[in-house]
Amino acid sequence: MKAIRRFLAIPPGLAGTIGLLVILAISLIGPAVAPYNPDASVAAPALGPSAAHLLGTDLLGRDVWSRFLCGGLSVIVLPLIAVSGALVIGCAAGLLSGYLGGWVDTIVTRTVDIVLALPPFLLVLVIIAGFGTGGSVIVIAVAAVYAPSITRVIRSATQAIRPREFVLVARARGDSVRWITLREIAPNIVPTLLVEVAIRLTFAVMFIASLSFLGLGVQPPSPNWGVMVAENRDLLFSYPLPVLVPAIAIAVLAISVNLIADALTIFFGGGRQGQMR
Amino acid sequence: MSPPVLLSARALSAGYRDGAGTRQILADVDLDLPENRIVGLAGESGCGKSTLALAMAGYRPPGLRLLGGSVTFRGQTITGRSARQLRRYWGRHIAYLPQDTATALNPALRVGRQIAEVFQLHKGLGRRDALAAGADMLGRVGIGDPERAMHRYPHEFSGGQQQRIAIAIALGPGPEVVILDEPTTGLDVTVQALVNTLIVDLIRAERMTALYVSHNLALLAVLCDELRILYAGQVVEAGSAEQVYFTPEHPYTRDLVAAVPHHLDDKPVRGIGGTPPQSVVLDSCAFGPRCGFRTQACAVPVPLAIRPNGREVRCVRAGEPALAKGRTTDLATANGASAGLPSAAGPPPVLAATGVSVSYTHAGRSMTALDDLTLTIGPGEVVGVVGESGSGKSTLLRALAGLLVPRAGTLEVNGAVVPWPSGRRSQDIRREIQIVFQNPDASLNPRQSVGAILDHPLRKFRPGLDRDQRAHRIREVFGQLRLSPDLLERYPAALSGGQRQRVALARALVADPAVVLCDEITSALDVSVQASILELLGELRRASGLAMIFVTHDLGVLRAVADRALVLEAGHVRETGVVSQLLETPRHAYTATLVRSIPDPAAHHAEQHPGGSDETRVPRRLRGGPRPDGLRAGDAGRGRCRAGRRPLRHRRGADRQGRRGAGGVAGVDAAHRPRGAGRADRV
Amino acid sequence: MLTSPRWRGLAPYLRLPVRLVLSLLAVSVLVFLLTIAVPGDPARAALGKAATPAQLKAFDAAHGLDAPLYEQFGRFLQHLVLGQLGTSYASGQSVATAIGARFERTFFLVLIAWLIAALISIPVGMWSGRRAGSVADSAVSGITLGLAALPEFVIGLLLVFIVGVKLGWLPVNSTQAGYATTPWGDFSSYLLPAITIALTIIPYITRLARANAREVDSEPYIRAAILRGVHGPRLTFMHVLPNAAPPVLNALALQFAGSIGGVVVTETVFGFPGIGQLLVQAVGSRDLPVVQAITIIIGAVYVLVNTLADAGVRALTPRLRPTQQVAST
Repeated sequence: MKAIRRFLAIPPGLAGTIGLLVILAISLIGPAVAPYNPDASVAAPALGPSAAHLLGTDLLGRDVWSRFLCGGLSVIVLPLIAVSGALVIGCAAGLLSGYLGGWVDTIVTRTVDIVLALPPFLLVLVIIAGFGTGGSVIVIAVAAVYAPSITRVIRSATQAIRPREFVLVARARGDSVRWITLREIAPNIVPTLLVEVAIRLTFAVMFIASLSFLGLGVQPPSPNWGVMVAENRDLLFSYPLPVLVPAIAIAVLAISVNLIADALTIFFGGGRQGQMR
Repeated sequence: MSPPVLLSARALSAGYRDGAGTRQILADVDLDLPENRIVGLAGESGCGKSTLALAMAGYRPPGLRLLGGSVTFRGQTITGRSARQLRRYWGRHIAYLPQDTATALNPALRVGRQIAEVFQLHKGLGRRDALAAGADMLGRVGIGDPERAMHRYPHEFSGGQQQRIAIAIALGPGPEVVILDEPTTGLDVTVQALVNTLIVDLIRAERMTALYVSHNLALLAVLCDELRILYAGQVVEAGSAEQVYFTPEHPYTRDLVAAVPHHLDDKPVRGIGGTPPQSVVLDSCAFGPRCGFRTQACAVPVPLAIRPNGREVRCVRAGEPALAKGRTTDLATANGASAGLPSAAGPPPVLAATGVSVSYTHAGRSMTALDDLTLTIGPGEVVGVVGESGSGKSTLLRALAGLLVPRAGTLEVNGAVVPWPSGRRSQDIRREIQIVFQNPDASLNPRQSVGAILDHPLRKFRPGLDRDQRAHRIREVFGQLRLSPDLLERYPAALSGGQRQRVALARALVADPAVVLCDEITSALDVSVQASILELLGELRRASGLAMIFVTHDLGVLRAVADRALVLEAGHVRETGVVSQLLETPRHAYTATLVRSIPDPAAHHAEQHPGGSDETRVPRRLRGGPRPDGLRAGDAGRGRCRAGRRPLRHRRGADRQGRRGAGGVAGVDAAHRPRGAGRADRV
Repeated sequence: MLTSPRWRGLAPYLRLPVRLVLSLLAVSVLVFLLTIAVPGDPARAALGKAATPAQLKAFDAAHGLDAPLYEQFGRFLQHLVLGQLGTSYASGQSVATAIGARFERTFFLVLIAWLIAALISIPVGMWSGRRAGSVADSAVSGITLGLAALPEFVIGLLLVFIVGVKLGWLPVNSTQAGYATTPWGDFSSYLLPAITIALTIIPYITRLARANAREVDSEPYIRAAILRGVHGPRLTFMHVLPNAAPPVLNALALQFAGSIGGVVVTETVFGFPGIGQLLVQAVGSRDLPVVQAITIIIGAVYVLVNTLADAGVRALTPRLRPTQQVAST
């Protein structure tokens, strides 16, 4: 489509998309082509790179290359699920509270204020302390913590559009709330939404990877990249590859998504959304 | 002997950096500001007048490239110099008053500080003296209780007051040249009158030189000594203000004058087809495509020629008898205003609103937006509602449309009582009452195609029609509004302001309503575009007998469109009646004030020439200083009546608010007027 | 009575502390609800699977977990106000003792980090902003973009790898922080973690400083001021600053919230003995009193920062203050 081509013409958009696709490829195809079972101990620990083991072996004798190929999935999938969940809640709450106002708005805003009274990181830690560790917990926790921010953004975007005259015309026509929020207002907040989602995704990737590194997210022995970095830290002095490779992969993923977010801001902000003339 | 020239532009060409290259905005402009004269610069949106104004001040906004020529002040070139060098002139010798009051004043600083600052900078006064001078200046511009005002912030004042403060700041240090870029556009009519009077008084008193930029020809004809008309970045006509206004020689000027509806005669308005170019046209006459006098000779670049009578006109046919006539005199019928009231025993009213009162709470207090208003409209009638900001006119329309609920009053449609909220009305009633709003940027959903925008109400209100019938009906309405069917696939961003408003009208008309409520639908459009729409409305009325309730602040538009009208002031109905009587022989003082606030070049001319010579240019009415701040718009009517000395013939001051183009001013106004007008824009 | 003039005059001053207290209350409720009213048995988690019912009951009694919820909450609040932070499930010692010195260390760590960040990003940001569009500016933008997307542990580990392993300049292990005998020994343990945290903050502050440097000409009233002859420091400090500061304050407050996660992770990477490290350990072992206490402390600091930033914004933005419309007479 023309829009996609225009997006790719923006340098950060192109770079980000390429980076993202590379990481996606590794994560999705990786498990299928991994030479060894990522969880099995197949050789002596802490071996250097060789023909049999491209990246050598880790502390427990597992093939690093295989673990790397299998470790990307959770690094990508978990943030995606979390942000999607936050998105669904945030959009619904934001649109309704922004459009309807009144007591609906009051309830939503108060809830958002309460949840956001604590810094997100802290909140997630507390939830984990209460509910335990593991992939599903952090997904729900991250979703619960990001939903309020998204709600706020959508709400203010909705409130900005609500007094516009085409909305008034729709109200005078007696169009239903459903029609107005979904067909009149929502298409106009898509740019804001997309940018916000991209930014949230960047944070989520970093956040979940960090949690896994801390041992509070995905648990070992799962071959998650964050976990790999934590596990092999002590090897850093003698043999840094098992730490550096997954760390850099996480960095590439996060940077790519960030570039895409940046490109989206340029794509929408630069004359598309604003001037009608 | 002509006075020495203070500030002058020679062969000035400039453009803005664009993605692809440079978009040229000004081409080869010569503009002289002789000492002690007021020069007017007129043009519609996109003609480059604001850019020219800034360039004359020596200021280069980011992205502006100087392509040729220069601007000199007292012989010194000021174009192409660095900001540091130009600083000497700004504020001290050359003052600039921007259009939007909100942008002239820093919202975070107290007024006192901002005005004292210019005295400190340019007069070398110490802090205490500067503050005293500042307070003094505030008093001169008519701000009540200047001492206390100095401690306040800009947002605590009304729009009119803010502009006076900006004037005080700009003119306080006594610059030699003042450049005013549409300083009163966006203000209420009566406020405009007062502010413009103030401006001219100060300028004359201090013997300053001024460049007054506006789109309002009548205003310029009254205020200025000389007049320049700008089109597509070129000066197309230049001469004395009266000459240019009463005997225009360029076809564009002629058409522009003909496009302005006058409140005191029934001359039909004529729009100018097409739209003005947004950048210069160098290879032929820029106005050619829209000109009724075009010939082969117009396909080459046309120079600005000096005519024997001293005028400068950029037209190869200048001076020909056909062009030499003043206003257009052809066309027999008026635009649609029919004389006479509908007979008392006529058909039942389509819509009748009785005893409508609307209140709202602001800062804990209850304010009245409308007080006991009654309005009826019969089939085929056009009822006008006229008032200034805060009068409640928009509130009225919104209540009728079902968007807000009055605290008292009944609404009847075709004789049957109807609930106020639109959600509780029947589908049929909702179909019968349709509304069109003012702002072309916001009236259409930018994410829906024009076709979809029109299809939805049709499907909703005429479910019996199948797809082909709907398409047929849409084309029919498009034809009536002179819109091309290939606009149906486009999105609003691709349409001009005039087209968008017509689509908004089409949306209202497509389901065949009984009454269309129009909320200042032409106020945000250029004069020529407005004229086209007024023409269209006239045709529609004749063709389909459409009834309309037409809200406007512009008395000329009112005359062109409405049969009867109500005059609203702060929620109260001051007067009703047939439009022509209302305007020619108003009975209420407020109506009289409104009428008096409109600049009338003909009356001004009559006033100037019999009695006074050129020296007495300060109008008699205003000797004794500018009107003090203390009068509300309503009071002003009463006050002037009490004074009694001035016959109605003295028409001075500013004009209606013909705002240009999109965004900008219309947006500001919307921001300053929350629903129900939380803070009326008083004097 | 409450609307009488005397009270109304007082109102603006009361607003700040009242909001502060209410926010803190909200935070404590939140923390309490999350940690107490959750599934899972803290006693079992703490004592392990082998614990006997008697032991579990004793544990519950000792920690007051057998009382009804509202009573627990009441006691919770009471202890909070009195400053008693409870006893750790894991170590059995008083939470206050455990936190004590750690809080001090973390505080200094954050302070040093912010100082480093400010010293670098403000000048760089403004310098880059004045050259907007140039190659240098694009380079700065690119670097900040990259930095902003790097998780803290990646930055930390890279630093450890480069500086510690390869170059051997600084100790890679900060466990000595606060314990060493020589001043440099102490300080050097702070340095790498502080730099790491600083690197996560720098991108945002740089972007802020840059945006503000560019804004000078784009605001219409600044242009109007220039055309009045205002220039130089007067323009920057009297005209630009009051308008540019509020969004900066807001952004800084937000940034503070964001950096909390960075502190926690960084302390873990470097083994820095601060409250972040303790928090992670406590979360992992589900040591609820410790988690609660640290959360409330950090939460309180966050609320304080926010409230101050908000007050600062209001002070600088006259429009938000309740005023009276100037009467037209």
